Parts: sequence; structure tokens; C-alpha cells
Amino acid sequence: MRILQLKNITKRFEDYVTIDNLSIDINKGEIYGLVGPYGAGKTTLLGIMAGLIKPDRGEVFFREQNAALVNKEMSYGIGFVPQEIAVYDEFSVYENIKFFASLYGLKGKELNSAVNQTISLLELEDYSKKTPVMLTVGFKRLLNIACSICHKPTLLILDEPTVGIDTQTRNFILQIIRTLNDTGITIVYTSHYIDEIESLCSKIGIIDHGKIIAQGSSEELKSIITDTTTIIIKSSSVDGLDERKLKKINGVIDVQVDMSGCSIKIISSKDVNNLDKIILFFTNNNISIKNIESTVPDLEMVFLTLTGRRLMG
Amino acid sequence: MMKLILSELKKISRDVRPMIMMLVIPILLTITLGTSLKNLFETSIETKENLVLYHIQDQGAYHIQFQNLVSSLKDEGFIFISTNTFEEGLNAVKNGKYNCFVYISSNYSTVEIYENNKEPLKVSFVEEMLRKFLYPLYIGSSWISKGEKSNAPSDLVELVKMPLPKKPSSIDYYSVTMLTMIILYSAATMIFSYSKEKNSKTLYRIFFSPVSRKKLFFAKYFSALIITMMQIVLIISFDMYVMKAFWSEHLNAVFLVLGTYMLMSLSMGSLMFMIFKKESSMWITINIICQASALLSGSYKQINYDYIPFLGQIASWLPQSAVNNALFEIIYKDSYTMLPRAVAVNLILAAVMYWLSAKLFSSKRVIL
Repeated sequence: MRILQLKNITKRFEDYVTIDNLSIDINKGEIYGLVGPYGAGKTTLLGIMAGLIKPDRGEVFFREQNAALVNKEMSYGIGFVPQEIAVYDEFSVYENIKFFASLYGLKGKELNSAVNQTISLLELEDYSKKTPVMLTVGFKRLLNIACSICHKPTLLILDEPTVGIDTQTRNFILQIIRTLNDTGITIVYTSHYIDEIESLCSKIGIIDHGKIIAQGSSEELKSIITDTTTIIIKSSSVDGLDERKLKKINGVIDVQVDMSGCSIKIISSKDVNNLDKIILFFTNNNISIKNIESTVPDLEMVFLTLTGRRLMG
Repeated sequence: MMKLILSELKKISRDVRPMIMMLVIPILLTITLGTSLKNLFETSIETKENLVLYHIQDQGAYHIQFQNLVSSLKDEGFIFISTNTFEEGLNAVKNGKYNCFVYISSNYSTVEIYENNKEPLKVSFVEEMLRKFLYPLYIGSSWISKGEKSNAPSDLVELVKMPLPKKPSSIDYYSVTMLTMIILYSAATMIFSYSKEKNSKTLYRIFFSPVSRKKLFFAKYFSALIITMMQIVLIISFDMYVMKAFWSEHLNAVFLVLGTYMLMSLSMGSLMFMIFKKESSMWITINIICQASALLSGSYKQINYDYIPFLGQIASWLPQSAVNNALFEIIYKDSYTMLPRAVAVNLILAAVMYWLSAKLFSSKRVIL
């Protein structure tokens, strides 16, 4: 069953087309990952999904009903975690969650119970009396999520909820999202971390210039890339490596250098046999090769191939 | 609705810095201006201290005795000057030019001393001298046979007190004008309330919830009104009990004028937030409006607009001028004549700006 359907959505801001005739179906119970570079239109798309931004053209359906007609019902059914930490510094953790839950009509025992359950789920018990200014970024992010789930939505939209936090909290947030999904909540998730999207999402949509350019499971997306190969070269040092010259070798599409790990990732066209030229380039530049391996395409490569841009930096 | 109002009140009251600023600034300004510009408010009327005005309806039989009294009082330093009419003497005391005016009716049957309480001891001396003068006349007259002896000595001279019109001291003046200025600044409370929510993105979260924008708008407006009212009550209490500023007994009327002015200021703050996109533009505009309004309405120093009449015209239309004038009328003249104009100006402007800003707030284009 479709919980959310976007049909031929177009949104302009002045002369700039942010969303361009885009359609998406999100089914009940899935975790839908939305991935795209800065300015691709992700936040606008989430705003339209949440009913906050009205599209110029197209229709949004929530539980098979036109969103324009069930706007209030949609507000009750959707939880939205904004990218920014949107909480009150004057309120404690408990008060923040309670206030936002109360906006959804929860009262008395029901309200207190919902707040306590949320605090317990996100393991915020020890911090419930503290104000956000006393929390680390990681705990602020948890509070940000708590304020969006305390009213028990059926669809939870998360806009980059793991930005700027440590690995441990990041993993905890991903675990929470899986737990919420296990309880039947449908998730829409955006992130710049492609590994998060790959590990978490059952369906992934790649958005660029306001359009969904590819959609499917991780494996389905990887299968799109059949015409490239990835060569990873390990060296003792990458000093003196000129990426631009390396890119000029026939067939090389992209070069990514990991300075700390002394490894070079080369994405090359499958049709061009250029391995000998690449090895010669390293020899001529006095860069020793410790190891060479060829790998299957990953999601990052899919993204790069489809958009011509890297996701991070 | 209640939970929104309560949470707003909680948020505002926990943010101590703006609260303290709103309380401390008018008090500090009142003290600073009230002390440094004290000389502007000191009365320039020169009182002729030892001159006594008098008017005798008909000098009659006791003319010589009275002239003897005037001579003897001259030796004590009191010079008696006759007035042509009763009103002339009375007005001279009323406006503070003379301390005392003696009225003597035909046959000396009524002697009244009008005084303005500026020099009660000296007047008391004149009264005593008059009593001494009148007593023998009274003993020798036919009044005694009328059986009025028992209380006659105390009734010989009637003392009528005519307090001078109340005039604000520098502290009195600035406690009113600085308060009205800070109420205009309460527009900033409204801007601050919205911009804080906008910057922290909590406004975005509330918009996403089922709460209607109309309810949110009213809750913010109403809670800002309550907080501003509490601040104003605290400032007036401090003015009255610590700085001893005079606010009169007409506090109900005073609060009516101030309350409507608060509504106008808060509506103005809401409208500014809805109109301007940049926060810096809002702050610059609010500062220009508040300072220009304070200057033109004479909040710092009363301005003579005789040479710049067009500025006088502008000033007369300012809500702050209407409010200041109404308050001074109420407090110092016990008059409500300017109250309806001030209340009407405030309420009309408040209603128009509230309606406009509520409309803009309801449109999704604003804020997001």
C-alpha cells in the first residue's frame, strides 16, 4: 500500500526550478532513502512531502487521499525531523518533548506516557531535566528526533539527522530508525553519507536538479553501472601525484585520493584497456605501487556516474 | 490555545536578559534625564515674598485703624498693596506671583486670607496680626450682642488655601515619557519572539503540527501583552514607591491609555516581522521609529514647534504624543478630555496592524 505518492510535482522559487516534474511512490513499511548533492532539491521535496510547501504543479496523496483535502490528518500522521536542531533552549529535554507532543492533541496521562516512552526509546533519561545548551551535538540530535516522534506518526521524514555527530551516536540513531521501522513506521531518510543510505534504506532515490534520476534498491542501482570499473591502487606515499594528469589518461572518468591511507581510487571506462598506462604513469612519477585491485561498483560510483558529481565535497 | 500561551509565557520569562533590559532601561533613563535636566523643570515664576495684596470692599469707619496695622506690618517687613478688584488679588495668588491676598468685606464683617501654601509661616504671621487687629473691633461692635461671642475669635479671619496647579518635576515628567518610549520598544519583544523561533527553526516545527497559524499568532500576541503589562506595572510601582514620581489617583485611566498603547506597539512589532525579510532591517527600523517618535513627541525635551510648524503637525499625529498628552492631562489636571483621542488612535492602529500581520502570517510565503 502506498502511504505517500507524489505525482508530477513542480516547484519554482522565482525563476529557479527546484523540483521538476518529479514523481515518487513511498510504500508502507519501507525505508526510502533520498540522496543528492547540495542544491539538488532534497529539502524542498521533503517540505512538499510534509505538506509544508505547496507545489506549483502536481499532486500529493497521503494514504491514497489528496493531501490538499486531508491536510490536518496528514499533520497528525507525519513526523518531520528538520536538518537543523529545532528545539527551545529555554525548555528542558522533557519540556521540549512534552510541548511538541501536546501540539498533536495529546493530554494528561496519555501525554506523559508518550513523553516517557520517547525518552526511554532514545535513552535520554539522564538528560531529561537538562536544557539543550547543556547537551552535546549528538544528544541534541536525539532530542530533535524525539520531538518529532513523540506523537507516534505513521510516516517519519528525516532530513540529514546525523550531520556533525560522532560515529557512536550516528550508529545509535540508525539503530533507532530501524527500531521505529520495525514498529511499522514508514521512513523517508536523506543523508550525505552514502554508506548510511546503503545500509539503512530498502529503496533509494537519487535526486539531481530537481529530478529523480534513478530509483530502486541498492543492488538495482548498482546494476545500472555496467560500463565502468574501479581500480584501487595502494602506495607507500602519494606525494607528487598529479590528479589532473592522471585524469587525462584515456578512459579515466574520476580519481579520488585518500592521502592518509595512501590509496588512489580510479574510476575508468570498462571499454578502454588502460591499466598499463596507469601503471606507467605511477612509475614515471616515482610513486611505488604496493597493491592493485579492481572492485565492483558501489553506490558512490553510481551517484558519480549518474550526476557527474561527487556526493561529499 | 492555553498551552501555547503558557509555553510562550514560560519561554519569555526564562529569557532573563531582554526582561531586565525592558525593566532597567526606562528606570535608568528616568533617573539620568530627571537628574541632569532638572533645571528645565524648575518654576520660573518669581514670587514677591513679603508683599501682601489686599482688597477692602469699603474702608468705612475703621480706615485709620487698618492703616495703622499696615504701617506696623511694614515695620515687620510686610508691604501691603491694594488691588483694584477681588479677582486681581485672587489670580495673583493662584498663579504663584504672590503668596497671600487679604480680602476685607464692608464693615470688616468678613476677613479672608487666600494663600497658596508656598510660605505658610509668613501667612500665619499676617493672619495672627489681622486677628489681633480685628478683636478689639469685634469687642466694641454690635456683633457681641448677637450672641456670637463664644466662637468669635477663631472666626474672625478665614484662611482659604489655594494650592498652586500641579506641575511635573523632572522625575515625574521622565517617568511618564520614558515609560511610553519603552512601551513603543515592546514592538521589539514581538520581533524577538518571532525571529528567535525562526532562527531556531521551531517555528517550522510548529507550522508542521496541526496547530493553526491564527492560534499561534494570537498566542504570541497575547503572551507578549501579558509580559509587557507586568513589566509596566513593575516600572510604575518602582517610579511611585522608590523614585516618588507622581502618577495621581487616576491609575485606571492611566492603565487604559497605556494598555491600548501596548496593543498598538505589539501590533507594530508583528507587522514589522512580517514585512521585513532581514532581521537587521527590522531592528534599524524599530530604533528609528522609537527614537523619532520620542524626540518629536517631546519625550526627551519639550519642543517649541512655532518655527517648524510642519514638524509640529507630524508630532501631533504621533500616537506617542497623543498618549503623553493624555497622561499629563489625567495626572496633572485631573482631566479626561484627551483620553478618548489617545485610546481611539491606539486601538485603530492596533486593529489595522494586527489584521495585516495576521493575514501575512497565515500566508505560507512568509517565514519559510
